[in-house]
Amino acid sequence: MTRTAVGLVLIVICAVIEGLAQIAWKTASMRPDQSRRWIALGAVAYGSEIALYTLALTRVDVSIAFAMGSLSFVAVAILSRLLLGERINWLRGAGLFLILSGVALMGEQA
Amino acid sequence: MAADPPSPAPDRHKLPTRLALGLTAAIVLDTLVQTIWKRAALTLPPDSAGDPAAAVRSVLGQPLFLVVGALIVLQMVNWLKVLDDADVSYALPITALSYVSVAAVSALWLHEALTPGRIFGTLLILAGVFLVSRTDPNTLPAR
Repeated sequence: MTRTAVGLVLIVICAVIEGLAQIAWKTASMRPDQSRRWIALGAVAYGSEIALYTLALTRVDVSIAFAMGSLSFVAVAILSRLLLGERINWLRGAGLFLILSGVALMGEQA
Repeated sequence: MAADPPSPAPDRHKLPTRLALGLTAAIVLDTLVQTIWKRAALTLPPDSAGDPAAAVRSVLGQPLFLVVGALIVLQMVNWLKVLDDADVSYALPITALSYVSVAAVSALWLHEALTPGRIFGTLLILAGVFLVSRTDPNTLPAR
């Protein structure tokens, strides 16, 4: 796998981790009795994301990496649908599709 | 004695100066964080992934990472103030303009390529973020 491909994979992983961190913090607000645990989990996730994103930046242009980071919008939407029961209507789905299309194009440009 | 005339109703569609400044700061800070982070990452040894200890030493020895950390804290403080004055569904798509500013600044300062494909990809993402922000921000039933 080329260095650039590794960088792109790292960015996708960062997006998923960010999705999990956002879900953790949302859960913290929904379950006040367990909020500290969920906030700590979110903070650990963000810490991991920072380390991986730094590694990704050694392999990919920031204009690509930052734009592809918008995959986190997609990750958050899917994870919140699966884990929290939040809904994705057609407009949100269309927006997520555009983001995915843009990310795919940026990945190809890397 | 005649009553004072009623004061004119505030124009809800006019962007308050404080909010405009906050949103501008959000975009500027986003751009600075990303481009300085990239500049700092370029100083890391090529085999950072295979030698985490060396990577951590490099990070600690590179002042630019401290600058990034400070800017991220500033970003969070500013964003909280923006959210005091605006809905997140209003503010978030505006800050997505930072995708454009990061591409422009990285082309000028870091000499990254600005190809038609990258421009189009950025615009697609911008459009997607805008559409997502137009949806109902709360789809869960009220507790």
